[in-house]
Amino acid sequence: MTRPDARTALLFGVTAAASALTGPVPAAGVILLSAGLAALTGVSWKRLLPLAGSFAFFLVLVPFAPGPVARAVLQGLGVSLAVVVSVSAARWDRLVAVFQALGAGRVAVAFFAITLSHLEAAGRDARVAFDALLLRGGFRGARGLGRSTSLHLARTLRRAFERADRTADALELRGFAGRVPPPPAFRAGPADIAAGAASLLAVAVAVGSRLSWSR
Amino acid sequence: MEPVKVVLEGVSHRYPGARADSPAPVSAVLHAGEKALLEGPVGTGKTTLLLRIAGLREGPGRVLAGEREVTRRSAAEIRRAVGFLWQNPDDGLFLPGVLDDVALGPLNDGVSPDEALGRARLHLEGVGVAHLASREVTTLSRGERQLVALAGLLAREPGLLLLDEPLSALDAPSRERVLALLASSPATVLLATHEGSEAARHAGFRAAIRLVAVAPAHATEGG
Repeated sequence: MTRPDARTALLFGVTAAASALTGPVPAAGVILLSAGLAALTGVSWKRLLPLAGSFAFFLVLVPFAPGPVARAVLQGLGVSLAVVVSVSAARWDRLVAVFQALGAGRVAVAFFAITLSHLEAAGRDARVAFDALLLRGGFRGARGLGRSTSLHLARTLRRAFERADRTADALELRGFAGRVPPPPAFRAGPADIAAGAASLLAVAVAVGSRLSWSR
Repeated sequence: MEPVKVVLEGVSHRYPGARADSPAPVSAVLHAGEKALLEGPVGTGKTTLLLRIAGLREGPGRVLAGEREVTRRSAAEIRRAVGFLWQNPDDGLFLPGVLDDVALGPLNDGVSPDEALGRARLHLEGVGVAHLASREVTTLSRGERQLVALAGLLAREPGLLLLDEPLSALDAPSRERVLALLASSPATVLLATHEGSEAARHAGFRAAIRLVAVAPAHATEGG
């Protein structure tokens, strides 16, 4: 399945996070829905690992914690998963459309769009630098780890500054005057339908849970 | 846009701390619409020479684009006629979506959004990557990004194309397609390369400038 448009992903992120905050049952539902959406849209589990790792630690403590803490952990996990999955699943190019749809000014949209690309390129540089250092025997032992980390940081920063200079030149050469293309028309694909259905389910679970408590 | 004639008169550059010019003084004439090669080993100043022509670097010698000398004051106006392909295609790509990025140039030249997107589709098709239009730039290979960046230049329909190693990441069929496209373009084309010269000559490019790595460096106008 393809990835959802950022507008649908944003809808899921907001509704699911809000639902998770209403109670432990909706939070559990949101966790399941987020995991399902992540699996459907092919979100890399690597992206979720740091989050999963930190929450795994808290989950281990849950049986020993009094009620409110367990509830807070569950709700926190629900909100975090909803946000991470919605951001990771969304197409980055459509995030610019979200910004435009939210009515951001021309300069803000252009700045956001260019920053997104710049960050991605900087991230790629950082990964290449890390791999290169690793292949040259870096990050071995405590001393090697320290040296390699500082080298990696220095090179990544230097590249980022160089790239910023070239970006300024290249923008001028492409006649950039602050305009970016308008957002593409929204066409719902299977991933958008799945994200939309997950949003509805999250809201339904939250409302249902509230109703059952109020009886 | 009308093809641009380029005249170089003793153009050189010396980086701080360097013992030799890079490039050494270059004098050459590129006639309007000519397809020319800028050749030379690594480190002889090919990129710097392209940046001088585009008005992004200053130094000894004169560059004339059309009838005007490229100076700090005139550079902004001259650059409207220039399409510059960076050796690393990432340097020239700004938007996360392929189609949006290619449409960026025409849109900023004052073309309507619909026409800019139409032109973007046309030029993506021209370089053979129409199927990438709905993709994100981050998901493309280096060769694909190079082709998308090239489509972005062509979409502005410039009179002068300055291309820094445009063939380096391309496979043989893509190289042939790009060279044929450039050869049939009305623009003046200066293609910097240290590989693929033979294929470019077959496509009708003239070996116009050869930079040589000797101390002090020499540069000659080819025939």
